[in-house]
Amino acid sequence: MNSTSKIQALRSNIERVIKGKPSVVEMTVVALFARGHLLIEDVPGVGKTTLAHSLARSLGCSFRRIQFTSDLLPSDILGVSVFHQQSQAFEFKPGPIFAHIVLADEINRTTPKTQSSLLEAMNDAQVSVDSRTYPLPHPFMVIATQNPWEHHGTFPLPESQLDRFLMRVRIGYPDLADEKKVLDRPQTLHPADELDPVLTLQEVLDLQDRVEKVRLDDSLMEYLLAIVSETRRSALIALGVSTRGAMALHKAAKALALVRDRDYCLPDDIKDLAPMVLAHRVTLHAGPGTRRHRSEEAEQVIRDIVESVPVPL
Amino acid sequence: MTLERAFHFCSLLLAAVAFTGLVLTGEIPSGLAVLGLAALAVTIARTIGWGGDRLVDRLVGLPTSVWTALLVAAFVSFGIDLLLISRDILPAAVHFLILLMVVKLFHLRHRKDFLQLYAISLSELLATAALTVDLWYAGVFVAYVFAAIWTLILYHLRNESEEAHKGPSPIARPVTRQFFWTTNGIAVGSFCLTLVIFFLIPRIGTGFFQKNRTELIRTSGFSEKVDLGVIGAVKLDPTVVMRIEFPDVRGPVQNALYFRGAAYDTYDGRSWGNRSATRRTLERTPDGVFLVSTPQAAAAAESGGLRQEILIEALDTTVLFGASFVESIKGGFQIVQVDGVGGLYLPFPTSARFQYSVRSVPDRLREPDRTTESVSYPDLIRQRFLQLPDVGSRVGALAREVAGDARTPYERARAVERHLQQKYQYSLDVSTAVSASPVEDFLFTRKTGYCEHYATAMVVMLRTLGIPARLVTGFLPGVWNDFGNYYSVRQQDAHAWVEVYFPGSGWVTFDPTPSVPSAAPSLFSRVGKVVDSIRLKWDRYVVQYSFRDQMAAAKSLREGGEKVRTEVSGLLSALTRGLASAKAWLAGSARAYGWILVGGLAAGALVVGLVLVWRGRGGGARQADPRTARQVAAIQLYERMLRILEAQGLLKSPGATPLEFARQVARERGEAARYVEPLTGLYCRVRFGQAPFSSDDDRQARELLAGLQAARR
Repeated sequence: MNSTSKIQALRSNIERVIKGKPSVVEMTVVALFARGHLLIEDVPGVGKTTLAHSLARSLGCSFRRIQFTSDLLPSDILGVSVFHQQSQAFEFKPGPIFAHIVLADEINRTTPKTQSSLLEAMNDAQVSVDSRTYPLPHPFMVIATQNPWEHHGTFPLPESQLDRFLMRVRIGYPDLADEKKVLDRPQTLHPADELDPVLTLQEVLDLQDRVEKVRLDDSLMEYLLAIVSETRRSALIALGVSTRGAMALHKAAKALALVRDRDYCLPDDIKDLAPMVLAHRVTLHAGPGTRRHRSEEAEQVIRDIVESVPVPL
Repeated sequence: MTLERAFHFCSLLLAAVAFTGLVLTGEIPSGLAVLGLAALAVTIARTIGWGGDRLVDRLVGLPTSVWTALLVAAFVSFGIDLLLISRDILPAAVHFLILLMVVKLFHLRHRKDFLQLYAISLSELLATAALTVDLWYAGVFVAYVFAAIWTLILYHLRNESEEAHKGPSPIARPVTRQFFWTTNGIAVGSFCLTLVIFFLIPRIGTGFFQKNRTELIRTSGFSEKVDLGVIGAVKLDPTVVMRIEFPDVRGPVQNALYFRGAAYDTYDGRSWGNRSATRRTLERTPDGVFLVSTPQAAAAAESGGLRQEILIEALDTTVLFGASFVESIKGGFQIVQVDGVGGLYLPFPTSARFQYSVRSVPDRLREPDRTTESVSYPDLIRQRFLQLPDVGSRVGALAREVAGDARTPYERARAVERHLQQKYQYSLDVSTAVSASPVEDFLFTRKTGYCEHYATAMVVMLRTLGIPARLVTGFLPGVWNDFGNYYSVRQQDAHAWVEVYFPGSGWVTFDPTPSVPSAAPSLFSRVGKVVDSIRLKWDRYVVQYSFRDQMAAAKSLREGGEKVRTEVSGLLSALTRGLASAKAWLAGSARAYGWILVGGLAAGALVVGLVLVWRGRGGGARQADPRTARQVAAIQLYERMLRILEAQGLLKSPGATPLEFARQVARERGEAARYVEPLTGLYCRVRFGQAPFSSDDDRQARELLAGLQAARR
């Protein structure tokens, strides 16, 4: 089975559960192959957990869910060293982060301290507890969710922390026909449990390596950098996209090209990804509107910027 | 290897090549050589990533002020070196260069540091050229050209990418095989171009710093006074002292050759010397030829003599060698002197090898001298060449016994020569301790010896018989090199022989030494011959290449041109007389600009070829125009499609991607979509995917464009 059909099988497998959201599924797969982490910003009950769960099931890898609450401590995520009576030594009890796919639910409800312990682990793919370092499994992907509608008792992630996520997506409500299909399903079983693995972990790692080999023409590199530097110049944006943001877009574009069955990038890959990869990395000038509105607004600003940058011929 | 690392590596390699050349000259103090080599080794190892040596990292991390201080210290040491130690600008400057290089190796941070390192390496290469004329310099030079081309191309790429990104940005692109071969192709091309320039640019003289530091070869047997036994000491020394070509003869010369150096008239029982050391300066003709005897004799030599081209190494003697007997001599010198016994000398020793040509007329015994029994010698000859030291009467008795019933002086001389050849053993195993009377020792006690003993014994014996004779030292021809068609003469070919005077014929060569069988040629000696002939050519056509050679080359080129021209003109006149005026014009311009034209055309063709290779490969030119030919073709195709659609009222906004625009076309003008979609697909594949753009694709694209054009509403 070649890589295209493998990716296709993975997508259709997930789409058996997540109905009517092909682009969200596509972005999830892109984040996986680009070795990135995904932030889903949406209201509860539109299938965030199910998405993460079905991805994990399709890969046949370990999956953990951490419900973030205001009293969650870093050790609840990373693990803790406990004294072992018989061996007379400290023994490390790994926390829920030691899984291939980790769903961090409602990440904005916990304290900055706990948030940053998760984000450090995401960045370095390893965990340090009591001056010892434990590597996280490979591949490792965090799917975090946050609810933009809540205000009370939340600690919104600052943009600098959001930078750690490859992209931020919104799922949105399904349309009527798709919602009807969801309701038609037998409710006794969790829908994701029906899924069988279609990719082995080794195949995932191989595809992640393939992403590196996707060709990105020099002119597209310039196009990408032009978009990034435009965000730094725009009058609407207080803080533009960092170099890490440019790297993220570069990598995501390559992964998207692979997912779309090409070994080279097109301008479309960059243009389609820019709102999802860049919007959560910029700070807009202070203005009216709720947080939810702000993130939609940022996506629109990025879209306008991308539209204004000429595509290389 | 990424470009950035390759750039670092090549910069260090360039310095390493230049420094290796400097070390090979052997003129560098070993301390400095070790310092430089160690610095190069650790920095190169660090660049390749072999040794993450902490000490080197710390050295590299030292602040700029420390390095500046070190530079100042190096400069001060240069002053001290110049004034007190070396006392010469060239070695002091070379030592300073090495210190500079070491400092720079550890302090490569900015662009200017690299440029300075290149300047240092170039200076080292130039200094090497001033310090050596050996063949290995060619290898160092070629290696340097290659390394320099790599380095400069990488430097340029790095510069461009830094400027493109407004600030330092490491170029992480890997070095491809294509890049490697392209740069090597350029290096070969520029090397050929350099060769053309080397042979075309007029020579003005020797280099400014060309101070020849070749060691003088110590010779024996050509000084004012020659102790008996000195030649034996060099009979095992294989050092090449000269190479002799015969321009008029193909293959080795058949008759016995003696390359005459010095001659001696006075023997004091232990050593040879000359009674009168006065030397006469030879007359120089307007063409720079020195005539040894009368112009008439020289004219005779011009027609029948043996012409030799002699390339002589830097010897510690001023003697000029030539086959017996030299009639005229020509070379790059102003004065040639001759002494009373026919030895030719320069007024002062030269410090470099040099070349000269000689014409010789072999000695010939005239018939009267062969048969005349009673001979009267001129007084001058009798005074000088019948002198005898205090040798015992036994020598005279032996001479008379050997001469026996021979009646003519010639027969007596031959008898003595034959006697020595047959009755005595040739051996180099003779104690070097000079005995009280070496001649008697040789003749009666040991009966073994080598050329000097034979020759001295013969001279003494002839003189006791009243026949004037003298001792001559020089060289035997040595080994014939059939790859280069020349004789290579070594120290071990040094020889001594005898010249006997006959009133009608002058001096005639006799050699009482029995011939020694030469070793059979082995494979090794054949390889040695090839190497030696390459070395001779290197010296002849590179080191000694002069304005004279250029003129000769230009002349031969012009002669060739003239020949072609006459042939062409003959053909033309045979064809038609009406074109006569055009022909004259053609011939005139060919005469005026012939070889400039040929050289210019060759250089131009080379440059055009290089540019074509460069563009065709596309690898090296990526920074200038990053797009390959087929990408450009795809862009042109797409632009044509856009123009056609624009004419039909469909305009692509600059921010729209190709696929978005294709969707827009499908939405707004469904019937055009079946042309636009495949065209867009092809464009995307070739433009961004570097897919091949076959002639089939091209034909299909043209058909689609034509269809689109025709699908106008």
